[in-house]
Amino acid sequence: MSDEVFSPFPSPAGGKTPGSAEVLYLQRALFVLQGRFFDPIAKADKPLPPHRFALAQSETVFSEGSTSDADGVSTIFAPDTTGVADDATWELYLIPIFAGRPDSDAYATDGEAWIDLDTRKWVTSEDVKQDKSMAILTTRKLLRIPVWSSARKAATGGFAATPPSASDFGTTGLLRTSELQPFGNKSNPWVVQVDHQWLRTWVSLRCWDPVAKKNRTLPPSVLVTSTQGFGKVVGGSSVMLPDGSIYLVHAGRKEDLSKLAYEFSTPEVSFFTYADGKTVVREDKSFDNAELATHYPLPRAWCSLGQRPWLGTGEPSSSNRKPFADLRHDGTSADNPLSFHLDDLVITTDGAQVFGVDNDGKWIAKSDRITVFDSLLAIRKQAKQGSDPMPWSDLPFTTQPLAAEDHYYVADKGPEAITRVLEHEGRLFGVDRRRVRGLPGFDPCVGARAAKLSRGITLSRSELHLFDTRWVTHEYKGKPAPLAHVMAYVPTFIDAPKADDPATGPNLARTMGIPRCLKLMAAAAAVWNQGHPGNHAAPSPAKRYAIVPEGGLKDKQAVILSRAHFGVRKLEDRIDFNGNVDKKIRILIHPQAGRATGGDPMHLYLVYGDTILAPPVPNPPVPGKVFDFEPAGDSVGDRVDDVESIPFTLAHELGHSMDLPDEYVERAHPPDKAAGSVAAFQSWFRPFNHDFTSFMRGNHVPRLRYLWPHVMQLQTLAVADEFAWLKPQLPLVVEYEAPKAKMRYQLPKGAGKFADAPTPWSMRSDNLGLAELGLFLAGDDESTRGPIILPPKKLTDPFDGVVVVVTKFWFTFDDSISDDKDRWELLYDEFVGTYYDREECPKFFLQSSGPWLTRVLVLFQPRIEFGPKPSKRDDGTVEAVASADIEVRVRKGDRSRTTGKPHVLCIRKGDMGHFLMRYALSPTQAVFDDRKNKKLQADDLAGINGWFSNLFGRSSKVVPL
Amino acid sequence: MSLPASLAQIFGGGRRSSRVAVTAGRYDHAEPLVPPDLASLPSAPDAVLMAGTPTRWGLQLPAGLVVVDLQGTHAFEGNGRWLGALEDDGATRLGNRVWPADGSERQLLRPIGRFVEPAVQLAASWHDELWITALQRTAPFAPPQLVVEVRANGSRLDDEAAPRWCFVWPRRGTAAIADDGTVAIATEDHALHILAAPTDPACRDPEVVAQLELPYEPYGLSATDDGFLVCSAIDGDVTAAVALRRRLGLRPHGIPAAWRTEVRSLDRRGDTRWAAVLDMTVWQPPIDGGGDRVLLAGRGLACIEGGAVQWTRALGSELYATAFADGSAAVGVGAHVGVVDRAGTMVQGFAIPEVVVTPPSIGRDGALAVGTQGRTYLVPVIHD
Repeated sequence: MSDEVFSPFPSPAGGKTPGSAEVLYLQRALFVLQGRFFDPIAKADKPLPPHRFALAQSETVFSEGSTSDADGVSTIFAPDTTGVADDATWELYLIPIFAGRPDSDAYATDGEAWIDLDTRKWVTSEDVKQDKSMAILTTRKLLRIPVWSSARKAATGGFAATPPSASDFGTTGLLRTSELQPFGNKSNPWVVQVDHQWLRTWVSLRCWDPVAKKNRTLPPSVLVTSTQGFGKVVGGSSVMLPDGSIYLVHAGRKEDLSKLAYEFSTPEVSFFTYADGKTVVREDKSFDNAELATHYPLPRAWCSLGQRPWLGTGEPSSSNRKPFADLRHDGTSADNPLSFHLDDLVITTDGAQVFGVDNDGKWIAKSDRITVFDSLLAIRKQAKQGSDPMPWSDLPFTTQPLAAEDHYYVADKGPEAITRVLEHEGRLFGVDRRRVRGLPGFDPCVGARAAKLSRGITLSRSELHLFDTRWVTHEYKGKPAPLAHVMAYVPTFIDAPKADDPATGPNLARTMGIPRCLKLMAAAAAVWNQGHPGNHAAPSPAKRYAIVPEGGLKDKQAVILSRAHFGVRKLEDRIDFNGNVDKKIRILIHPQAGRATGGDPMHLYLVYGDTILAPPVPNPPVPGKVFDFEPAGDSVGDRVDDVESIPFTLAHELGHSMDLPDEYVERAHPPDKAAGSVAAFQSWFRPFNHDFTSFMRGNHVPRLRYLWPHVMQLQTLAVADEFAWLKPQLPLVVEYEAPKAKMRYQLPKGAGKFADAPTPWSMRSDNLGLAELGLFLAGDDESTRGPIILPPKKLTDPFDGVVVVVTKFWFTFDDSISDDKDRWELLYDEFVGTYYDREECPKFFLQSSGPWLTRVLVLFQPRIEFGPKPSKRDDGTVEAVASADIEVRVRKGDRSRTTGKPHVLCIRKGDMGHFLMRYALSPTQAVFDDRKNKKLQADDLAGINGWFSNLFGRSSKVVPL
Repeated sequence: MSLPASLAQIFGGGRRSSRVAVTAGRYDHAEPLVPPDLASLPSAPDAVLMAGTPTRWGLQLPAGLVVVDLQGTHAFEGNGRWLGALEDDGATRLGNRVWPADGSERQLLRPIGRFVEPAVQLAASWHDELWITALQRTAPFAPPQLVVEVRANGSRLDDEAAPRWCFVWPRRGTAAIADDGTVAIATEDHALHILAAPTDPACRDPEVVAQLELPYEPYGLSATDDGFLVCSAIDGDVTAAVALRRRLGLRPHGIPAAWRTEVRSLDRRGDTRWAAVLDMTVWQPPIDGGGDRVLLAGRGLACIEGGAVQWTRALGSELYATAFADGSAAVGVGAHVGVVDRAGTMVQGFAIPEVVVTPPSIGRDGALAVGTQGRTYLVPVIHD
């Protein structure tokens, strides 16, 4: 007999006997049932795949029905009720029939089975899992059906139909023995809709496709489960509809699912490609960030808790986004799915904890200021005050996660507009392919993009961060190259100390100084970042520096561009990082006159004054229209590249915040109204003092050498696994191809007498006569191409070293010259001024064989003190003659020379001249008696040349420029 | 015609307010000036300098001076923004340096110290043994100071008894030097000082002839035969506007800020002769048109005579002008060079390929030269 469906006998009215025959069944058929479920593809209720129903009173007293036919119809025969009480209860069970399996035990064991909507077969969880995990990628259309019994179902929505003899089956799902009366037949079976009144939802998982420059849904790949509380699965599906939404049916009604949440997980290192939407699991677990240009890495685990979805298939926006808790049960129609964006961002310090939210979900962040940097490290939606850009974004930080459409991608823009870094209250948070970790169903925002605290390298005042953005290409030397950035990050807090408040009236440093300083922070970064693609305010022409491999940039190697960011936070304390709270860098603005100083804190003054760390005064001076720290003065063009700039004190001080040293000599102060800038005793050796346009000398423009410390730090970072891509690019150089000169800056490693990692400011010192010689390594940059010593000329061959010659001269005068201004002008015009005039100063270099220090510039930098008005040291004490190498007494009468500490030379006013420098190099009576005042000649440098020659054991010669 | 020597204005610089002792010639074309060595010249000069001979010209640049002669191009640079000049004897001047035409060692004019520090030279003049310079000190970590120095031209050891004086005002501003050595400075604090040599030669401080408080922020100042002309911004923030542009690394050309301009005429004692208001943004210092006639160039061109506005030609773009001896003017506006007559009518005009960014320079024969972002153009005089 081919008909496996049995009908009760005798046939009920209207029933039809198979084959029109009279059939005598051995068992009495009790129920003819049709198992059905909602098929989201057919958009209709459809028969369950082959299954049986069983009616059980106990483990031993039961009746298992026949296997359902193609219409989902099956029969349960009347059980043997002998010895079973009339009021005993029976429960109906669903038994999926797994093809190729001897039994259906997996259904009970797993608590679930899956319907493959393509094959119309049941699939066990074991067959769904990959490597015994539900972290899977699949293109099958699998729909989860939980273990189903009538008692369970009665508690979650009841039934579409109940046997008429069963009095309370609809509410209990149980039949009493006395109620086991035949019900249903093949043509009119008892319809058992297994998902009757269960919540059905459509979920859309969206992500940004930077290649297509639009949002899309994930390709068929993930299997989404729904849970009711942590770990209690109530639904599951990988059934993706043509519009990309995933259909789920949850084992319960809305009211049964108060904690409903969605989850999915994927194998480690799985992604899809933008080009074809194919999903891949990378078996060797490798993934290079450069692949982000073409690949979308899937979250390892994702959960809807804490996310901010929206309803519908439209684009997300602040107006339609709502907390998941508010939309938990929405998305109940195919054309109005519950949409999540997988690129929503969460700021997190450890990758798991959502910053700004306490354990109760309460918002506790104290500042709403964030800065969002895209992959070019341009500030997204930069805030403005008037027309001045601020160093943060006009995107208030008031909720987590941060919406992808506001904080991650820019509509119609490609990968360059994707967010790479966030800044909040003094910390940077990197965004790449990392996701928020945590327990799905327990922790919030699991699987959202993690903006994770970037550690970088902590320097004295700044932090250095390497941001890999190799998914973006940058046109370098006419060719596209993968891009990466090294960011010098200076976190700041701007304040006006209360101690400065004047006796009456407002503290202008607070009311005017702070707003003015705020407006200048982005402008200061702009002049430091001239050639950086994230700098929209770059001058034209601009300095375009790049860090590249020593051997030149090869295919697929990254060009690394430098960017400075001077962040301004709202709160004085930086946010906690592993228990570390600090206040760096505080920028304090003062109303009293004073001299700006870098460091932590940095001190700025509305009005210039000579005093460092000027104390408060009761009545501060009225400031000019332009405060001391603002850009002021006429522009100067850099001779190497015509880049124009004007002096900008704040930008210079921020250079200190980036751990760069001063490059100017500390000046002795001339008498009132006299002019001339020369080094005082407390000055340091300054090889770049003549290059007025250097930022750390004259507050104008950057120099290539300022990036050399970055290069050294990058070489350190390259050992970290995270930056493994950098290792093959070592060693690095800094490169600048200006229209008139191509420069590559590098300092030699292992150069004799210097440490392994010298900086442009590392000095080796020696003594010669009464002079101290400071030797520096130098590289090829704008300074060594000419401005370091020459007025208008540019050099084809740069200097690779500088020796700075220093002697301390103390000058006193008798009444042969009575006026202090005349005294000053005598020593300045006839002697010391020459050495600080780039045009007039001696110009020689030492030439020797290589490989390093082959062209060493000799720079004379005499330090002087004007006896009638000696300088004050930074510590407030006054310079004393005892610190001098040579005391020069200008007076009437006999000339004389006394050796000792210091040497004392008594001369007449007409003697003033360059013999003093000759004497410093060779402090002999003969030189004193000769008093040769012609400008220094090559012969005068013989001692310096001999010192150099002996030091390095090579021949060298003095060459005039 | 006789004009004061100071109006020869051999010094370059965007601030110049020149009138020259020639009248407009007849012109029929503009042509690019090309150095004989075909060297590329720096872009965007502040001014073009014309020497006494047509074979020698120069470009005043932010960083210095480029001079072109029959031998080729020669670069000169100062430690700041110094005024350059091409003298009739072939000498070249930049700041306090003078390079003689015969190639002998350059001379240094004191005070040397002022020219070693970065600064901006605002005005310069020399009279017999004296030379006068006004400069804005811009050295880092130093207060803003407007300094006027008057010194002898001799050597230091000889000049202790020579007349000399110095004046320092702790603000930013502008300056003009009259033919008799009187100096006016106008600063951002609305102050205007007129300074003259002290009657006692041993005194190092000038006689302050006048100290005025102006109603608006002055930014342009020029000397005339018998007084000074001042331009002030009535309702615009000059400093902020300039700072804004420069912060972006751009020259003042095309600054978006605009203001109404007060033009004030003062006599040498500082008494106001007249004041007039122009509903036009003026960029250049007032241009002496001769007599009591003043030309104002900026977003257009205007003429004031005896305190009455005679005519205004407002434009959307910058106009640069230099006055001829008869009060007509050579102008550069957009990509055109031309001549505007006394009535304000463009009577001659020639198109060039680029936008003019300097005031026209006028040669001894009346030839015009202007600078653009990329080149220098000459409009030669046609001789019948």
